[in-house]
Amino acid sequence: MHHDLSEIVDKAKKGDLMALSQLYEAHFSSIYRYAYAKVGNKHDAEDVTSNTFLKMLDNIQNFEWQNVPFKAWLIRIAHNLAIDTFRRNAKENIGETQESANDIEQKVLDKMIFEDTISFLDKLNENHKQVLLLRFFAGLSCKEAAFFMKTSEENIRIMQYRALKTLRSQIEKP
Amino acid sequence: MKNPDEIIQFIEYAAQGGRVSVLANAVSEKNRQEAKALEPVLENLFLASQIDAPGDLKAKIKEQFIVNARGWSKGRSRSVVLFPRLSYARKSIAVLAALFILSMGTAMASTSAMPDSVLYPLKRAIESVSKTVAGQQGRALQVLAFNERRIAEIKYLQQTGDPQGIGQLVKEINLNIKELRKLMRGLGPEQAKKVKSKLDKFESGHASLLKPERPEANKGSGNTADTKNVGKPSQKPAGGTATVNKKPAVKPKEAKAVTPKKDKPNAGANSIMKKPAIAKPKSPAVIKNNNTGKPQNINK
Repeated sequence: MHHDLSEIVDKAKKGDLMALSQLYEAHFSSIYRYAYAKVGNKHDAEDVTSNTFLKMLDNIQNFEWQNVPFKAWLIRIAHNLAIDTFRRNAKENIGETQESANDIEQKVLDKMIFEDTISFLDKLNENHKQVLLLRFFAGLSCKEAAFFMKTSEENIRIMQYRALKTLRSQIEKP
Repeated sequence: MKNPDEIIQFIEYAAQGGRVSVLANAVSEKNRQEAKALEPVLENLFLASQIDAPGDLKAKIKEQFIVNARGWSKGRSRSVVLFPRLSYARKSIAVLAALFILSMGTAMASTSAMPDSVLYPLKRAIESVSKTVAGQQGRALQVLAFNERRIAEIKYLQQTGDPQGIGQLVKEINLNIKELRKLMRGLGPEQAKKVKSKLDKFESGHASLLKPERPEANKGSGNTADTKNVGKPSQKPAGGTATVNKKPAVKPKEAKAVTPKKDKPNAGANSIMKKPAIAKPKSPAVIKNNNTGKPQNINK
C-alpha cells in the first residue's frame, strides 16, 4: 500500500489530475474529522479541509519520500490551519456547537457523542489530546503519529495509554 | 447503534498501541480488568471519530480542488523544472543571481562594442544612463572618456570605410566638447584645471582626426577643434574659435575701437586713433615771427 501511495504521490507531483483526485478521496475523511475535532464546528472544519487540499497543491513539490509519511504531512497542514482558525474563533466555537446541536439534519445521538467526547478531550493535557486526535480521528498509525509529534513510537504508545486512562476517569466523574 | 463487531475491531486497532495491546491480550487478572475498564472510553472514541461530513460537502470541496489542480497542473507543465531538489526560495535566488551575472557580463562586453555590433545600442544606453546619474565633475570626466571611445570608433570606421559614420562621430565629439566647456564653468578651480588639462591633451592628441581636411578650415585660430566643416561644404566664413564662429571677423576690430579711453599716451602700433594735430593758439609774439616763413613748432 505504501508502494502504491508513493507512486500516486509521485504522479501527483508531476501534475497528474487523476493522482491528485485519488489523494483527495483517500484522505478527505481523515482530514475532515481531525479538523472538526480540532476546531469544534462544521463551518470552520469545512474551511480547514478545503484549504488543506489547496495547500497540498502549493507544497507537494517540496514533499520528499524520506521516511516521511504522506498522511502525517497532510495532517500537519490541517493541524496548522486548524490552530490558526481556532485562535481566531476561540470564543465563537462554543456558541456554534450549541447551535449545530439543534440541527435536525444531523444524527442527534452521534452528534452528542461527538460533542461530549470532544469536551472530555479538551480536559486532557495537550499532548494526550493530540495523540488521541491523531490516532482515532485522523487515523494515523503509531509510526505516523510519532513523526507528527517528533517523538518515538514507544512514547506515542505510552501517551495513548495514559490519555485513555485519564479520559476514562473524566467520563466516570460524577 | 454501531455494529458491535466494528467496535471490537476498533478496540483491537487501538490496542495496537502497545500497552493496551498487552492489556487486550492480558495474562493477569489485573491487566484484563484494566483493558475492560478502558473499553467504554474506546467505544466513545470510536463513535465520535466516525463523524462524517455532510453528503454534498465532499463533492463541493472536490470540485473546487480539481479546478485549482487543473490550473496548477497547467502552470507546472509550462515551466521547466530546474534543480527539482532545491527549495523555491533557493531556486529564486539562483535565478536572480544568474540574471545579474548575465546582465553584468553583457554590459561589460558592450563597452568595447563598435558601431556595427549588436551590443552598440546597449553601450550607448549605458553611457547615457551613467552620465545622468553622475555628478558634475564625474560627468565631465565621463564625457572625456566617451570621447576617447568615439575616437576608437572613428579609427574602426576608417578601416571599414564609413565616412558618414565618421562624420557623425566627429560631430558628436564637438558637441561633447561644447558640453564639457559648459560643465567646466560650474566646477571648482582645481577640478576645472584638471578637466581642462585632460581636454587639451585630448584635442592635441587627436587634432589630425578631428581637424577638417578642407582648406577653409580654421587657420590662425587658437582652437583646432573647429571641425564643423569636416565632411560638409562650408557655408560660413571660417575664423575665430568654434564657440565664436557665429561672429563675423569685423567685430573684433570694432570692439577694439571702442575700448581705449584712458590710456592715451601709449597707444602702441595697433592704436588706430591718432591724436589730431590741434593747433595751439599762438601768442601774439609768435604770430609776429611767423611772417619770416620759417616753420613753426606748433605742438609743444
